[in-house]
Amino acid sequence: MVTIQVPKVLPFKEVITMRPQDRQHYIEKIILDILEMNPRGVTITDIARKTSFYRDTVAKHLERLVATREAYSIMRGNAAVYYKNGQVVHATDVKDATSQDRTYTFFKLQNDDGKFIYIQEKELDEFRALTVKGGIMIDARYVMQFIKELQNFVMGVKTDE
Amino acid sequence: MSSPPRLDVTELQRDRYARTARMRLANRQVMTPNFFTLVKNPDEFQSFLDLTTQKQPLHATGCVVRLFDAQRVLGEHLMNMTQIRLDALSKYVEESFHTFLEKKTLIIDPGTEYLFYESCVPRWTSDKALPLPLMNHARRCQTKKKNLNPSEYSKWKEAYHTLFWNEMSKDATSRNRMIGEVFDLELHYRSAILLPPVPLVRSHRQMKISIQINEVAQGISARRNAEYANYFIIPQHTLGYDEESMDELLKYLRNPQPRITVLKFKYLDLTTPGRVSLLVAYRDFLQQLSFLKETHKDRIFIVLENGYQVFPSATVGFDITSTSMTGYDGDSQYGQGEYGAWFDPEQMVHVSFKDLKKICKNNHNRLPCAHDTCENINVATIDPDPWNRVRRVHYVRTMNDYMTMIAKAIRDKKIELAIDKLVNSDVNRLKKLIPRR
Repeated sequence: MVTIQVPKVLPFKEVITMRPQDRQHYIEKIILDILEMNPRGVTITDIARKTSFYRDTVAKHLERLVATREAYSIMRGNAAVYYKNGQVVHATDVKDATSQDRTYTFFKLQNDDGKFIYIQEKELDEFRALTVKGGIMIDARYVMQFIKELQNFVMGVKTDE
Repeated sequence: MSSPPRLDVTELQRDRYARTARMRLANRQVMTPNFFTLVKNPDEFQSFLDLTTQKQPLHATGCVVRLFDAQRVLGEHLMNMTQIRLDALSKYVEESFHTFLEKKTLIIDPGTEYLFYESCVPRWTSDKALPLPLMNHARRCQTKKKNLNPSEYSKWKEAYHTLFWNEMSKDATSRNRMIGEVFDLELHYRSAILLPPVPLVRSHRQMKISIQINEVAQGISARRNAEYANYFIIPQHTLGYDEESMDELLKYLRNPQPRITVLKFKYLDLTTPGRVSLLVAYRDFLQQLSFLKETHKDRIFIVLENGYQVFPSATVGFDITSTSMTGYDGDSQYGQGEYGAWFDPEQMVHVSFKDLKKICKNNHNRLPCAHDTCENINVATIDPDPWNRVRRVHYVRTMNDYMTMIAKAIRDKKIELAIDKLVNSDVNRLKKLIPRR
C-alpha cells in the first residue's frame, strides 16, 4: 500500500457542521492540497482512507475538479488515479469587461503529457467566494491553429448576423 | 495545477530586529511598516478616501472598519457601485472608491469584544444583516442592563459573556454557521483579509476557545476571495499577568500557517507611569514576534487599536499598526467638546485645542506642521467641523511620516534613531520597548 501525504484536516465533527457551501469549498481545498502534495497521483480510496471524508464525497469533488480542469485522471487497471493539473509556468488574469465578478485566468502548464494553455473561468458569487466555473486546455503546440480556427468561427458568426 | 499565490511577502531590508517588507495581496501592494487607520463613520472614510486619492501616502495605505459600523461607513458606496452614474465632471460616481478597493487594503474587523465592552452594544442591534447569535447577545445585554442594578449587571455580563463563548465552543453547528456568516459579511464589504469572530481573552479557557475558532475558521475560509488571518483580542490584564495564556498564544503563533496574524491589545496605554509589568510584558512580546519574523520572513503581523504604542510597535514587532483616525483608542463618548485635540508630531502626544491656540500665538496662529493640509489653517478663526477634519487627516499623515522615518532608518541601518525619536518626545517611557542591541 502506498502512503500518501495529507495536510492537517479538521475533525469530522467540524467538517460536517459547516454550512454546505463552506464544506464544499473546504473539502475541495483539502483534495487539491492532497493532489499537490502527491505528484505521483492518488486514488479515491487513498483520499477517503486518509481523511474523514466519505468515498462518495471525494469522488464527487474529484469529478468536479476534473470537469473544471483543475485535476485530471488516468485509468490504471480498474482504478482512476488523479493528478493536479500540471505545474504553472506562467499565469495572467484577464477581467471580463461585461462583468466585474468574472475573471479568466490564462495558465501555461507543464505536466507529463506536455505543455498546455489552460483557460480557467472564475466567478465571484454573491458572498464574494471565488468559484471555478469551467476551463479548457489546449495543447501548446496547436494553440496558434486553435486561435485561427476560433477567429474564423467568430468571423463566420458575424457574417451570418 | 496551482493558482498564482494571492499573498506574497518579500523582506526588503533588515536592521537587527527591524525590517521593511513588501506585501502583495492580489493586486494590492503594502510597503511595511505601514499604518492602517480605523474608520468609524462615513465622514472619516471620505477624508481617508480623499487623502489616499490625492496624496497617495506610501506607508498609510489601508483602513479598518468594524463590522457593526460597516453598513454605515461603506453601505452607500457599495450600493452606488451597482449603478453607472456620471457626476458633473463626467467622472463615474464612486470611481475613487472603486480604485481604493482595487489598490488599497480594507479590513473588516468583527470587533466581537464590543459584545463585552458597553460603548458599542446598541450598534450590534441596529444592522439586521449581522449574525443572529451576536445580535441576540447584544439584545440580551441591553435588556438586562435596564432591569438590573449596575453591580449585578456587571457580574451578570461577565458570566453571560463567558457562557456565550463556552457554548459557542461546544456547539459546532452554531459556531461554524456564525463564522461562515461573518466571513460572508466581511467579503460583502470587500475585506481583503478575513478575520474570525473570537472572544476577548480574559482567561486561559478563552484563549483555548480563540485558538479553536481560529483553527476551524481557517478551514471555513477555504477558496474565498480574501486571505485568512489569525485573530486574537487580548485585554491588558491578560498581557501583563496571565503568562499561561500568553505562552499558549506564542506557541500557537509559531505555526507557519496562516501567514497573517492580527492582534488587538484592548485599552493598552503604556505611557501611564507605574505600569512596569505591562511594559515588560509588551516589550517581551514584541521581541518574540521580531524573532518569529527573523525565522519566518514571509509572516505578517498586524496590531489594531494600538494607541501611543504605534511607533515602537512598528519599529520592533509589527508590520502593520493601526489606531483610530484621531489617535485615541479608548471608548469615550463621541463628540465631547467642539474642538478635538491635535497630535503633536514632535512630542508624539495629543495637545488640547486650548493649549494649541497658546502654542500657535507666536506662530501667527499657524500650526507647527509642514503638511500642506495644515499650513493654511488659522487656529484662531477655524470652525469646529473643518478643524476636526483637518486634525484627523493630519494624524494619518503624521503616522505615514513616522512609518517613512522608520523605513528610512532601516534602509540606512540606523534603527537606533527610532529610540532617539522617542527619547526626545513626551512618551519617552516607550523607548524601553525598543531593544538597544
